[in-house]
Amino acid sequence: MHAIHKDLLGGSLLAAFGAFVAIYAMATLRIGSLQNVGPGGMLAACGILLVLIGIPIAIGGLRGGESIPPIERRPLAAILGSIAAFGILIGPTGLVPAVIAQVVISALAEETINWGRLVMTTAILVVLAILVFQVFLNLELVLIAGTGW
Amino acid sequence: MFDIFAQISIGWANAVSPINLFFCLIGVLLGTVVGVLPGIGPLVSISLLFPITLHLEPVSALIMLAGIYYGASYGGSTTSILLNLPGESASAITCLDGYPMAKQGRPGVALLITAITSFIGGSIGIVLLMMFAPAIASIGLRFGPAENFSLMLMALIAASVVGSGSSLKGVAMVIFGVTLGLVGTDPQTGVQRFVFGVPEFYEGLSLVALAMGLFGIPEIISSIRETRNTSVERQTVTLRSMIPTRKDLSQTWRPALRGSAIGSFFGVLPGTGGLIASFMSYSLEKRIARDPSRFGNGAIEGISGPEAANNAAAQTSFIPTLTLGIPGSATMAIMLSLLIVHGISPGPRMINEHPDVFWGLVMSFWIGNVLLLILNIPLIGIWVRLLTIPYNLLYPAILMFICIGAYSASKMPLEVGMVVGFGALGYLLRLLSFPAVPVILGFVLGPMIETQFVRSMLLSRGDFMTFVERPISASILAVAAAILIWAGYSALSGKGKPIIEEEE
Repeated sequence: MHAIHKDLLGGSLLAAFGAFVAIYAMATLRIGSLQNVGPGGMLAACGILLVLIGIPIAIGGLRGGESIPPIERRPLAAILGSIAAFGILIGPTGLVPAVIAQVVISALAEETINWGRLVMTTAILVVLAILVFQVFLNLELVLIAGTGW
Repeated sequence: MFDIFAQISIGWANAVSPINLFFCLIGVLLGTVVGVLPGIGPLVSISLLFPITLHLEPVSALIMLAGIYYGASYGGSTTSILLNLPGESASAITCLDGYPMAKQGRPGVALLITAITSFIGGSIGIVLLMMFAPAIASIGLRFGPAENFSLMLMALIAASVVGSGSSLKGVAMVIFGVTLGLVGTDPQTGVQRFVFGVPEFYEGLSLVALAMGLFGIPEIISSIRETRNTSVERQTVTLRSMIPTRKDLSQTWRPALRGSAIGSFFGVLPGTGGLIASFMSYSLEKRIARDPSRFGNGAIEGISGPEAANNAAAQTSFIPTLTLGIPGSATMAIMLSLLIVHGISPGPRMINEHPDVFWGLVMSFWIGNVLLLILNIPLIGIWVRLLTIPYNLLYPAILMFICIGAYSASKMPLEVGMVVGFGALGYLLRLLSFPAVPVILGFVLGPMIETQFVRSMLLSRGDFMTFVERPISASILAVAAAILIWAGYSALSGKGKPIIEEEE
């Protein structure tokens, strides 16, 4: 990344998050008093503490330290994407298409794709999924939407 | 006195029932596999299985999950010895002398010794657990909300401060976890907090999604890049090659006992566990050895002590969770949640109110450790062959289990979405060098610590000093303060802490 140091970004994010929590809690929830702590009390306190801790971390980052390592975009996108695909598909289409989508997309995380191995892996995992979750654990998941399975 | 024996026999009957024997077996087998495979640890596997265990009896669920937990301590040393690659963070020390032993042609002996000393450590840990748990629980019964609050606070501070990296970041992550934990319905008033109108958040964020996202996903993402050049040398590990010499044995039993003592101690403390225990044991053995230069070159004390230590720690780490309701690690926090979900409130009353659960679990520890000792020896060949599975088959399988596991918890796609969100968060934390373990602890303890605080304040009528006025609470807080001061001192003086991070 650009030469932003880890702690500068980390501390700033922390403080920003804390500020958000504290302000939102104070705006929408009752803070209460020490004797009668309201639902927002602890949250606001946590938010303020995060701001108080985030600032020194960020300042420490200003004075140097490690810079942020490069983000591994390809694996990150593939893995998160594969899980998202599963989540999107499982409702409408059932278990089998969701697993297929998940396995295929997660394979994109690698530099080279061996299609033969991918097909085999997908087949194995679909069978494994059905065996473990449907048969063994009896979770009653819809396998393929629209069929009686 | 007779009461205890009666309770223990109830527990024993529970533990040997066919169903629980079955789950114990599955648990320890899974635990060993998880321990052997690098890249997946007990924390992720326990969180994966957590939603599935909701359908089981609480005892059975606990027996299985616990089996995974201490089973992993047995399995992790296998790869340390054979491949110089720890399968589990606590087994890292075993590489130092275990791998040289393998290279000297004695892998079998190393493997057998680790199995035996692990059993010794585990057994001593269980004995201590049985001896002290009832006493600790009875002390805990006298705790009021103020004492509970201080105890939880101390546990959180210890967990965030001990370990590598900045203590400041650790504390920040604990508070972050607490904040996440408070999302949902406030138990005191029933008000929705930070729900943003999403009905699925009424019960709070999902612990399962959090654990999988923060630990499992970043691990997979970073593991893909690593070229897995692990060629498992076809070491012939025959049964006969495992027999140790008399010299080996004489050099083993004392470090094993010392290691068990060290492990039992560190296991009980929140924030510390097998990793620090094994490290300390190694340092001790090296320091008192007659010829320290042997260490690093296949000294058998270098594996006996640490292995006993990390197994003893695995057992005694159950003590604070079961007797006081204070989890000392992220994994314990998940097991605590399991108990709560099943309607059992862990804490001092649990031993008396649910002796079948408590003693059933403890008795299952015996069974599990024996199973591990017996099974590990002949099954070593299988574990070794497991390691030849290329990672490209493994990680889609792990991902699939994560997806289906998350989905099956609530049948809500949003749960899977949360895994994605927390996965991204987990990756960010790793990128910016923030520790993830304290988040889970804060998440589980957050609502509980809030409840204790509110109650203390109600009882003391808003008097904040109540925490210091009550003697037990005050002494606990003094310990917590001492930990903070130590952390601040070592941070400022730049002494730096040993590079140890208790992962699970």
